[in-house]
Amino acid sequence: MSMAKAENGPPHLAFDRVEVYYSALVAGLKGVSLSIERGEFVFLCGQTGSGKSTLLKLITREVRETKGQVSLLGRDLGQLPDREIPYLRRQMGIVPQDYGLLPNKKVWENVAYAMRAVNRSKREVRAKVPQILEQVNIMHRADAFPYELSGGEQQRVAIARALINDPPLLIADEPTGNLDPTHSAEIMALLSRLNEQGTTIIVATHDIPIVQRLQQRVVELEFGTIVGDTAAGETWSPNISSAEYTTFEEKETDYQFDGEEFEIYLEEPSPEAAAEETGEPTHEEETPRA
Amino acid sequence: MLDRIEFLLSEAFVSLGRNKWMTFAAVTTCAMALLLLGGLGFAYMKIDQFAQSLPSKFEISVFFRDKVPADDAKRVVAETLKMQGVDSVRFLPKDVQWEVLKKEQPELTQGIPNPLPDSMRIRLKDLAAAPNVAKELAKKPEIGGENVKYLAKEQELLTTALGAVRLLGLALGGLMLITSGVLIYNAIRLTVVARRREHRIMHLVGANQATIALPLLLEGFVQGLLGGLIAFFAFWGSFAVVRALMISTLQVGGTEVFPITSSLFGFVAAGGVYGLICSLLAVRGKTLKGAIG
Repeated sequence: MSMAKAENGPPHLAFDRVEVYYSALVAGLKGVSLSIERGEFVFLCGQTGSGKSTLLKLITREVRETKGQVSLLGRDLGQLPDREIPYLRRQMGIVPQDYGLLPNKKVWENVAYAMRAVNRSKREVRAKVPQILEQVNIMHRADAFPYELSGGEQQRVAIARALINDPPLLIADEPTGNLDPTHSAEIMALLSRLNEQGTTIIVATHDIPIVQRLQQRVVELEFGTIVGDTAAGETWSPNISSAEYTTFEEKETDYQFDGEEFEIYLEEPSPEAAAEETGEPTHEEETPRA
Repeated sequence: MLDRIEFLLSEAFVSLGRNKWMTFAAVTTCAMALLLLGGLGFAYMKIDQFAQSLPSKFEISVFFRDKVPADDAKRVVAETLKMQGVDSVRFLPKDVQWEVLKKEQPELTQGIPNPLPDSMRIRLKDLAAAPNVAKELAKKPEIGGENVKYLAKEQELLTTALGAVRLLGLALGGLMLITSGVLIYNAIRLTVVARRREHRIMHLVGANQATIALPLLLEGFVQGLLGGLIAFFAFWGSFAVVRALMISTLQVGGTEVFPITSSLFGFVAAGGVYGLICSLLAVRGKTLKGAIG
């Protein structure tokens, strides 16, 4: 549940009858109106091509709306000159689906490089990098290369990098898309913790069990329109076939989620889950990612 | 500030190191292009200087027709002085010439009337003006076409030589310049591809366009600069060899001094600017507006 919603001022993000057409025949969004308050945690759900990515790209100004208006804290993003886009992106943390880590740089170097790219001094980098790595609980792997990390650890590094500008808004595209349930849970716990600290979180995902478990606000998209908007605390069930969403098989098992126990459904326990059951550590057993 | 410069420089030199062979190709081709353009430009300049000094050696001799009144001859001299490219005109009256000749050759000139016509010697500022001056004088009734003598063939040869050097320099140098430009452009594009992950991260975290573009521009600039530096040393070497050859075979050219400062500055500046222009062309569009998703 969101802990730090702001009561006053414009919403963090507002979409007013937004349409995006990539060509005369290809629509990304068709008349989407949506308001996201400061400190909210919002899941964007929908099958591939539903418009989730277009919506995220509007926020990062990778695309511009064809009609309507997108506002960030009351500022019309469509009117933002290109030269100001980098400064817009410093007001948000972006976590791409594929993590986007530099394979030839260690964990701390990945974060440091991003900081140096936004003109932070070496002194600032030295002070801040350990702090961020601690924040996302990856400090113990600071000297590892990305290929030596598990998917979950790589995702943590990607989140760490997204936090370099202390952003009030964090956008994550399918943060659990490449992860097993254990690591998915860890990542969602991390995002929840950031949300509790006041960060607005927007997560595009297919992961129904995670969405249902967290009971945050869920905006469901289909063919470029919003087909459902479930408030936080309410039970959400997909408007469209869950087969479109499913990313893993279903079988009931228990996981620890940020100190709170919850359930995820799996066909068979993953090797990590099996290892946990036998009390063995999981990090070392995971196949390193190339 | 120093931190930022250090970051940008390190980014540029990482790319130079990564594309070693492409950098090598771009630098050497750029050097050859600059050497051809600079070297042949220098040769053209030297031949042109030589040609400029020739008018003092070459004179147009003009002979007046018989019985041209002295006043008309003086008028023609005055008109000739006003012609374009004419430096000086020396009028030689036939009586004065005859007196000189009689003193030099008393036996040959004894007992015969003065057969010499009035004449004038014309020196030119610009050798290329000779044909026009000769043509204008030949039209005058006081002179006539057959009475204008000058070294037309020599002048023509020099003009042709100058034209050939200029054409050769422009054609070969231009071709090499285009090739080196394409190579520098390709090297930068390769860097853009090789560093797409880094650029994506930069876009992702909000690095401004200068942070992304400057290392790439710097890379092109350094490639051009290195090309210019190599061209300078090659040119210096070539100059020394040619001078030694001229001294040993023709016994001329020993006083020529190599213009070190101006050549170094010229080659390096030309290379740097050219590399910068090529990299500017390469760093456009998607590089600066890269997708982050």
